[in-house]
Amino acid sequence: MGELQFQNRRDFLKYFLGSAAVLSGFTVGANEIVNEKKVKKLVILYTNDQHSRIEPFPENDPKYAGQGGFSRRAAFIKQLRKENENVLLLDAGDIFQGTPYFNFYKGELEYKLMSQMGYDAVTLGNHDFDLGVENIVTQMPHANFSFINCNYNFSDTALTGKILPYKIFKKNGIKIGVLGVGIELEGLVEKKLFSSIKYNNPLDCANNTAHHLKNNLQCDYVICLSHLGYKYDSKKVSDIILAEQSKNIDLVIGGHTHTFLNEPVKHTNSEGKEVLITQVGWAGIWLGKIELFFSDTNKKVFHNPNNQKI
Amino acid sequence: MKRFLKYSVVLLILLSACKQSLKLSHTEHSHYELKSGREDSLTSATISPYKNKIDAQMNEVIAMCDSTLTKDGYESTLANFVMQAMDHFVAEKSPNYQGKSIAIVNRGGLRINLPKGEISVRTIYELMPFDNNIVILTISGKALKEALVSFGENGKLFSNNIAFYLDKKNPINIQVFGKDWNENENYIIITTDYLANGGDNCFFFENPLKSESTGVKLRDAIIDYCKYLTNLNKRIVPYKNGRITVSK
Repeated sequence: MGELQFQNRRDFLKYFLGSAAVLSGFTVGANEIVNEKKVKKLVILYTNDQHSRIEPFPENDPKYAGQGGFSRRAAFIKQLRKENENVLLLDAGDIFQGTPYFNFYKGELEYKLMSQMGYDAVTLGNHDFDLGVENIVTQMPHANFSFINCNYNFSDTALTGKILPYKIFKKNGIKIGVLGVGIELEGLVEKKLFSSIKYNNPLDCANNTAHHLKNNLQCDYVICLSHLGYKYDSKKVSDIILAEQSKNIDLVIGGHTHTFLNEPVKHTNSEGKEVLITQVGWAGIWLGKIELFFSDTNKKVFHNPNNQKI
Repeated sequence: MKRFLKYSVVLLILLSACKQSLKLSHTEHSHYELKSGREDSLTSATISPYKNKIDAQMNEVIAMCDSTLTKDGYESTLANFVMQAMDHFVAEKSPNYQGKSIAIVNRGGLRINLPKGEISVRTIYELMPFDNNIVILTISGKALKEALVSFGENGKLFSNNIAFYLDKKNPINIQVFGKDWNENENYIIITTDYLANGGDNCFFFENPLKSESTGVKLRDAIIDYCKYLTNLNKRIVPYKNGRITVSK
């Protein structure tokens, strides 16, 4: 048996990491390891509570004159995609309701335009049910993105099998788990509209799903799309309560309360780890952006053997 | 062979690291305020046929507004305007309740401030996008009190034709059309089917003594009221009458 000969450690790594990639489905190829590109970047773009604001606010609007609009957002997103290879585009619910576009077209145009913009996933807000569960099903063929929620039980409704509890996106070798939670619909949406959707505790559902994503499916980062609302004076479950009682969630992209957060707010989860909460108001006035930079710990072993971060 | 063993140790470290190969080093964040900037031609082209089909109807100017109406405060200029429209509806369509009905709307149901200047059909759609119908309820004096208690607690509702004093959020000295509130009396409420069905946690409306549906959308009633004012050469003028006073 011929002994394997390696000119140097670099060749050795190249060889074995190549094998490891084949054997374990490890997605980082040897070439990536060897070249000097140490950092992997992912750009997350997001909106919440778009409320059918297809066109910018009219010029006589007392607060937001001329702001927002799908067309302007689409141009921005196109530009950002040119500058960044790896983009994830998400929405935290309440896509529907607020302008005549929804009264006349029932959400068809919103879904069509979001599909053109390349949205990857959305969660459901209470106003998405304003024309009933059936209407969401009717409009879904216009959407080529995923609908994500893990705390509504849709099994007795027309939405059964059409909503995912979570979805994993692999971008540039980064494994991102996205889950979604929604607000209690009872008392907020007329019963006949949300029919027999059962509401389960969003904290339990989010934690169970996030545990599965992080520990069983080995996601590098877990995002929770939430339509619970940022915070309340009462004890009503909010993004802050969710973040502080969570495990395995890295980022909460929120909605419902139309809160403009200038920057993501840091909270500490039940294990003492940092969770970010973000929300960008409503009506597409802002487009949120979070850039994630990952370092490959393997490369650090190779490049900086005396300077490892553990 | 010795060298192979040495590398194997490195390999073991590597493989154990493979499980969690990526480590988040840092995040950066910003947001874009979409106030200006070019428009995407594909998106505009997709919007265009949808827009053209509704623009003529939506752009019709139906009223002029003297200054911006907002929903700030316990009594707001915006809610007062909407409830005037509801009173007008009662006067026109159910005159037997005229001068007897209390309008109740919820803060969350009024979606924009009413701008100064031209008011188009689109403006009213944006103010009241929901397809909620007007209903007329007869409720007990007790249920009315519960509504006001809830009002005091969370400020979610607006009402007209009732005056009261909020003593540390608790409504006292309640007067309906200038008469003292009476627990044993029944009251006429004009509101939306959304609230009547318990929406926004209006549980006190859920078992009314009587419920009459009108089949008229609140939005259409507001549009009618705008046209009515314009026909009389009147403009929308903000007003408050100070019927709700609050303890400090």
